[in-house]
Amino acid sequence: MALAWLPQVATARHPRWSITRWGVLLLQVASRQGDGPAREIFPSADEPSKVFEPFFRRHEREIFGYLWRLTSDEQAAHDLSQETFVRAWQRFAKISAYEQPRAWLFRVATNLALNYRRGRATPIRSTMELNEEAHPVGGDPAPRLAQDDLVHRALGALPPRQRAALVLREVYGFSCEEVAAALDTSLGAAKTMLWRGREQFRVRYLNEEEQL
Amino acid sequence: MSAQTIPSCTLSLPVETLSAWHDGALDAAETQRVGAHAETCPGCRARLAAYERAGRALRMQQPPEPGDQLWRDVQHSFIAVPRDPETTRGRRRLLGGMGALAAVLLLAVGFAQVFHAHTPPTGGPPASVPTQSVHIEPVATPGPQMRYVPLVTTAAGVDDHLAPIDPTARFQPGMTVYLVASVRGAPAGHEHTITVRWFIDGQDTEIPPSISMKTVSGDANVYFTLTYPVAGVGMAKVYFDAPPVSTVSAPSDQYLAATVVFLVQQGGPPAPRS
Repeated sequence: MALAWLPQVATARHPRWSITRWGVLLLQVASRQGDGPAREIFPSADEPSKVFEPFFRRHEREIFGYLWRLTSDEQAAHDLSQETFVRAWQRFAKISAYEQPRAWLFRVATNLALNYRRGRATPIRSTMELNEEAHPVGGDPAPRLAQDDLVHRALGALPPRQRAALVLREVYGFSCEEVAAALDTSLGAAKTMLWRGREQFRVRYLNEEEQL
Repeated sequence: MSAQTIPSCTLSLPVETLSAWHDGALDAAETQRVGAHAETCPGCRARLAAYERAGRALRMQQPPEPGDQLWRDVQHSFIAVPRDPETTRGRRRLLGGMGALAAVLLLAVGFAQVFHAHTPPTGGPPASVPTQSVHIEPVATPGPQMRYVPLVTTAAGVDDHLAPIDPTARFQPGMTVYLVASVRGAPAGHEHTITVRWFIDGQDTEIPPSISMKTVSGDANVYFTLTYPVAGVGMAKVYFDAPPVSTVSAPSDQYLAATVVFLVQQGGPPAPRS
């Protein structure tokens, strides 16, 4: 692979596995099973698929799309979606009994996305990756791409909580009460986030749309 | 703070009120009052039309598809992530002894695979056990700055086939660092996980996706990305077949396959070629 130009790259090879090391590990795990952490080993490798996959399939596109809208980053959306569904699996017996498990998923996803954004010192990237599936080859993709890019940038300029509130309300049809629950805030605060986010988005989006 | 009002509105209606009406979040009396007013007020009608237009644009935005990898990654996490004790207590009683045995068996299988994967054979190999050693060659590269340029569609950058990389680019704060893990010698027919943990100045970046995981079946080039917000010494640890946990838990260094170090510099010099 002709990538030798890369700077300051150092690689450290994998330490050789030793039987002693594995033996210690096996003993540690075996000895923890009695009163150790609540680690569950499935009796069948198919079990998670059987019980959880229908739930996952029902919600994966929404959750992934929502996290992509909040983070503007496909990789982050993937990782945070994974974390959301892993948490759902951990509490699946409870969640599946909820009337609205979807609301629970969105609440977790919102928390993860807000924490993710809090850890970033730089503003959200305004670049976007070409999505061939969403923008199939054929015809002129430029207007559609320009429109998506515009929405992306206008949304990215909002404070994170306003962004989440607006997307939950406008894209996913959450009521104000549901927005408040997802953001773990009061109804009044949620309404304020909504109107401020909506106003800011409106100004940015419509002003720039006129220049397209 | 004085309330922001709708321009040209005959009632000087607060924006907050019209927005709440748009959301159906007013009580019945207010809903009726604002609705009746908005029908005849040009300012309010214009603002509501703008809300509709902006909302439609939001709804029409098309996110990418999650892809099959997401389900595979979630599935891999099932094994290692403990479930809520309250929801699993009953089952754990049933599984108590069996769990310990299963854990040992599971790790024994992992041991066999990894040990053989990383250790050159000394004799005739069993037919089902791959013999070549796994080699992961990670490189960190700035970019790609996948950028939408109006009227010119570009999709240049790193993908699974190692698209060209700009060799003059630098690692700078705010730039996406791509780590390409070129996996060679991974036993085919099994899924293997490549996990990457990102650091800055020796500390965990503490932000998802500070830990990312992808799955490969046999040899593959996989890439991971992280945008470093600040300058410093960046580092990525690459793990092979580490038990997948979650994106916020750290894998054990026992599974460390390689480490890549790079400098993130504010206005740093161009990357030297060698």
